[in-house]
Amino acid sequence: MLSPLAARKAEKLGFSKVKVFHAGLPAWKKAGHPVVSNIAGIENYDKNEASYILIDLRSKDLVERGHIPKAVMLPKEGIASLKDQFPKYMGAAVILYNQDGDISSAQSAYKEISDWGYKQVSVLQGGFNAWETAGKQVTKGPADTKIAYVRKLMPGEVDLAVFKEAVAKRPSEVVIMDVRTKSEAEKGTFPGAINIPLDELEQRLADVPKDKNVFIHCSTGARAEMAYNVLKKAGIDSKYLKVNVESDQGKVTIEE
Amino acid sequence: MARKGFALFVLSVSLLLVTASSGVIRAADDALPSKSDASCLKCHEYNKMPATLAGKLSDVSVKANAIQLQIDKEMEVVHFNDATVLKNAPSVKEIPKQESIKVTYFKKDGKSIAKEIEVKKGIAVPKEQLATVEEVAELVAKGPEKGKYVLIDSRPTNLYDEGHIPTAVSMPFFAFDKMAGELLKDRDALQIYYCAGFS
Repeated sequence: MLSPLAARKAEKLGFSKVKVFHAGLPAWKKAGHPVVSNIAGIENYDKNEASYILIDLRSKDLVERGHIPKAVMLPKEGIASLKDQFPKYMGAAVILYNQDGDISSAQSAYKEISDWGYKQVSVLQGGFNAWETAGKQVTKGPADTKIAYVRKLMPGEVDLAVFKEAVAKRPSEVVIMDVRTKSEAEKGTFPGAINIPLDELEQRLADVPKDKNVFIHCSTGARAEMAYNVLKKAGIDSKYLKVNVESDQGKVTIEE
Repeated sequence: MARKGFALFVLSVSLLLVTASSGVIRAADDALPSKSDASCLKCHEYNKMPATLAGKLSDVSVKANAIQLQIDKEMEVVHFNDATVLKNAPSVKEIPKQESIKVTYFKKDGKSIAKEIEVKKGIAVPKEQLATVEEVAELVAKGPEKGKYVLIDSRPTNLYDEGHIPTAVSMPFFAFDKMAGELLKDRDALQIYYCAGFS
């Protein structure tokens, strides 16, 4: 949306060779072309305390001489052996780097991770050389071999461990609110949970306990998030779970 | 005085019409607030239109017939039903997330219900001015000097830093006037602008 406006501005300045790649970055990625990121991108994540996956594609020897903090070493079995450690969240930022930022040598790892469905994969521009030249912190010795990615919670989102504890202990100050439809909830809901389907919520605000911590869930988190926003608007505090919850024959399970 | 009288007249007529057609009494929509994402307001005055919400589609729940719009940093939940008019999309479910949409709504039983959901088509670019992904890839493979181009990323800098097309330079749209003099020196070079797509 911004690019056509920018192109118009350029034309007003008298430039005649102006084009718009309107389909933009999404189309570029979709066609399988690589995306590059830069040092400031990594610093943004650190500043925002957002998690990211940083993979050092170089040899063990080079990694031990110096690597970017938080980097994970590429196992000699290849990138596929890391797949199990990748998070479920496909929006996780994945940054790959080599010595000099050469895209073609990072391409196969880039493609493989993109093919798994990850949408924010990039190759660090300038690679380790650019990092070192910029005077950024370098870690010596072996790099981590395990990916430690923790998705940052969205505003209003409840941590899964906290939700599970609330379900297990059923403390009196907590209420679990199931915003799925009545028929979904009838297949099984958490003990003591109240069922207020999202499309009835506005009419049933009076049924929402105001003196307790309200934890909302649905089957994926989509309706739970909407319910959270409806309650927020009504001045009621709550938290919502963005995790899959399945019910079958009276049993309700939380997907890990 | 005369204007006030007219407004009252319109209000009572519309109230009558609604009452007669659906048996539902509701207040005039003009009283409902309008909210619009800052990005929409660059070209549209949705904030001056009654009961209009404009922003990005954040989520859809088919099971609850509800959509969530992101308007700046706020989330708005609006329900839809069989009477909701849908423009530029085959079904609500098929609207891609993050697409810019405009919703007109009314209130019933405390719920916001969409009268109309319109998927915004974005700004039209003349065909001869459009660059294809193949064209861009070909130039990027050559590099800016050999390809004689400047590839310009119009998105905010933080998004550029987190991932951009190789060889692109960052010139956020909002910094155009400040940066253009420095960045666009070669009048013969082809300028290609891109951002996050059509939305």
